[in-house]
Amino acid sequence: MSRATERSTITAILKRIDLKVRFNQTLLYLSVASCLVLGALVLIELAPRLVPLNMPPGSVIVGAGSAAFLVFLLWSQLGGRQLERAAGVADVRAGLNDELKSAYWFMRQDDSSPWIDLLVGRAAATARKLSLRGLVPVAIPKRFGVALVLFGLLQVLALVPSDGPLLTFAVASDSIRFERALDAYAEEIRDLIDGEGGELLDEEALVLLEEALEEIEAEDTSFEELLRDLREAQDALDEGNLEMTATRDAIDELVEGLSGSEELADFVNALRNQDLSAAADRLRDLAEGLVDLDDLALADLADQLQGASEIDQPAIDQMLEALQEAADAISEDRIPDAQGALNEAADEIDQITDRRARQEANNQAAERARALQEALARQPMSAEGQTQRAEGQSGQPQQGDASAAAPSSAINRSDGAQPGTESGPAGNATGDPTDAPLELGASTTLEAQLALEVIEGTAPESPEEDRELDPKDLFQEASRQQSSIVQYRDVRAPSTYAEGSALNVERIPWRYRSLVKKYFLAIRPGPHRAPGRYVSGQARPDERK
Amino acid sequence: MTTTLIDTQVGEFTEQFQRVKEEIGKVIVGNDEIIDGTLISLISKGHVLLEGIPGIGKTKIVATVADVLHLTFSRIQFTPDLMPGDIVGSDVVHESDTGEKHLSFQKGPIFTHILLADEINRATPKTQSALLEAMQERSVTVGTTTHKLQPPFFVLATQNPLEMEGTYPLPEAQLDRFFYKLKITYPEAHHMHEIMDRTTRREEPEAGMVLDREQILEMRDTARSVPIARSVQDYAIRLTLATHPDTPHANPLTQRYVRFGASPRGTQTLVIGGKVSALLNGRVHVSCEDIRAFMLPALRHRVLLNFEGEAERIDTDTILEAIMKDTPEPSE
Repeated sequence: MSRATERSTITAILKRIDLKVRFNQTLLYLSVASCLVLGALVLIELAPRLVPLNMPPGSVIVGAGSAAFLVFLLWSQLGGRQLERAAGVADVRAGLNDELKSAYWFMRQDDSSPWIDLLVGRAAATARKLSLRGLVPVAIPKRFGVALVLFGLLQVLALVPSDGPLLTFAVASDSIRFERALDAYAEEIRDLIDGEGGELLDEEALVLLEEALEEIEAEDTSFEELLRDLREAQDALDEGNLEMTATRDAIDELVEGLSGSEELADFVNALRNQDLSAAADRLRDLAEGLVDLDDLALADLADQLQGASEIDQPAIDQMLEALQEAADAISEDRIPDAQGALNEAADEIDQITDRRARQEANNQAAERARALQEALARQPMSAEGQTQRAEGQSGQPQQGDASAAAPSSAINRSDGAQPGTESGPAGNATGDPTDAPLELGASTTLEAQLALEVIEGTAPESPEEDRELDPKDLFQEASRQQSSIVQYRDVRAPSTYAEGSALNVERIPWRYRSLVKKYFLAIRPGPHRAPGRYVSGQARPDERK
Repeated sequence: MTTTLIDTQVGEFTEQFQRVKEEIGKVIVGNDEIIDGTLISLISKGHVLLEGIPGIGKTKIVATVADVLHLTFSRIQFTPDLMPGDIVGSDVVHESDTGEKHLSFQKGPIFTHILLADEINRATPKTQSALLEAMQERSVTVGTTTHKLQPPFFVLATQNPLEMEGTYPLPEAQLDRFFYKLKITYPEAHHMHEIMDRTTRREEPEAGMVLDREQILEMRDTARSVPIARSVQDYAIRLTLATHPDTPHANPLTQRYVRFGASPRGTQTLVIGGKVSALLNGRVHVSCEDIRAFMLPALRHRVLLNFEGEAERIDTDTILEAIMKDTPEPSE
């Protein structure tokens, strides 16, 4: 065999070995890359279930891993000296004692001597005897098994729903929980705005809710600010309740005034049943049937309408005006005008129906806003919020703190209007503060102790001064005049106030609010008495006098 | 020269080597590594330092090697009062038949093919150094005249590691001139039986002559013709550099216990020894295994321990074994 043939034989075999080695190497790299990527995906899937962590999306890991693998593969496979490596592999695996490697090196040097020719010739003969399949078999790396296990684990994790992290780190994860909670609140507020009945909401409340949402999305808010926004939105949503209560009171009074008329019986029954749509329909029926009534009935109807329209109820004054106009038209035998006036009154009733529907939507939204506030109040303070709170405690009280963290402050409790479970025996809750001095029991909590301290330090000398001083001013004035006897370390954490606030959120259904309001309006002293239109029952005859 | 001829030459080399071994094996029991090392040194133009306790056959091995090879043999028993002139020879006054007197050089025992320097460490450094030129240059200078030594010139020195009193340890320069330092260990039990059987009879076995001078010189040429690939040579260099504490290749043990590492002569020893080893294995190329095969005897006397190494009685073989283990082959 010629020298060239021997050399080409060695080169050809080394190339085949190199190809197999590269293939195995690629499989090895692929298995490692699979393990790494799948391991990362399992970690991404598993870690948030164990601890509160924000992990990158899986697609990023897969994409980055694939790109890195491709780059590494190209880099590793495009280098030189592959045949020398193949010779080394063959030498080691076939136990050739560096024969192929030496021969290939001398071939590359293009040296020629009888010794080298003998070496190359022997190496060529050895290479021809090599079984490449046995020498470099296709080796499936065991790491593929690991990758398979990881893939299975990933599938299992995908099937198991996540209920949030099992472990929480109170201090380390506050900011993460804060972000997650804000996301949840944002979703709730978004649903409030865009969900069913969102178009009926009060415009001012809508603006406030949208502002809160924007602040959350811009991550420029805190629990305290969010709580304040929600409270303002809730107040705006609740505002219409006063009007609706007044309207209902007015309708009740109207029902009393119209109850004597036979022709208006259906209309009155519908009003009494709060079925305003039916009432409007009955009124339209009446307008149509006016032409069929005899004079006596018309006169009776006119009297009833006249009497009913004289009540003083600004909430339904448009309807009362229409009824008054109808009465006048009937009296003057202008039946078409009377029909028009009655239809106008029916339209007014429809408008009231619309307003009531809108207010009901507002009330539902207010309930949700209230529930959100409760949830917010139960949330532990964010790191930022805690810092602000600490600053607020060390210096002057801050407005944000007062409104967000301590909605039911110590002052509210000490004035007796809302006896708490922690503040010991309540003071004179329902009596006139000018007549009876506050009677306080032994203080049991910091709030009560502070309150007692305040009262001792700034007790007004005259009843007039007492009336003029607001309890909050009283507290702040006392704080300015005296140094607190309570050690700083004993001051309760802001979260405690938040918890208290959550417990003290009102849960009075809107139907009963008028009753509660009437009660409190009734017990207020004269100068603070509510306007007459909000007072019904016993208050009204007094005013008429 | 054709490849067929070389092929034949390689076959003969292996056969002759085996014949020498077998002949030596008739007298010497066991000690294969010592015999191999001695013969490889002879073929590699080197010299051997044999170290071992008394009575385990150091001198017998050397004498047997000399018997097997058709070469002249001298033995010098080194003692403290031995003078350099006793080794190399000196000018003596000669009187001719006519009565004229003149100086003529009287060759010492060094003028031989195989020289047994028995208990070399018992002579003074001055006398030891008399061997330096002969071992390296294969020549002896007396006065202003240099006398060439006939090849092959092969020194086999022995020393006793136990008796330190009254000895003069060989200086580093002289140690470096020994191709291999072979350690003869105590024979094993089954070898002892064989030794007893052979040496306690009325007739002791004798080794016959197997190789003559020309054949040995031819084997030397053959050994040096074996090609070595750069990667294998690089491996030998890295092994040597790993014995140097200040190089990047240094082994941790080297850095801790070694003062000076092996010289380039050490690398030459690895490569030439590797070539002979390759031929003995029927190959015409040197492998990394050939390099490793005689690394311990090639480098153990070239690695100088520092104070810490001496204090902890570190054996240089331990360091060299760590180097062999930690230095990767140029393979995959």
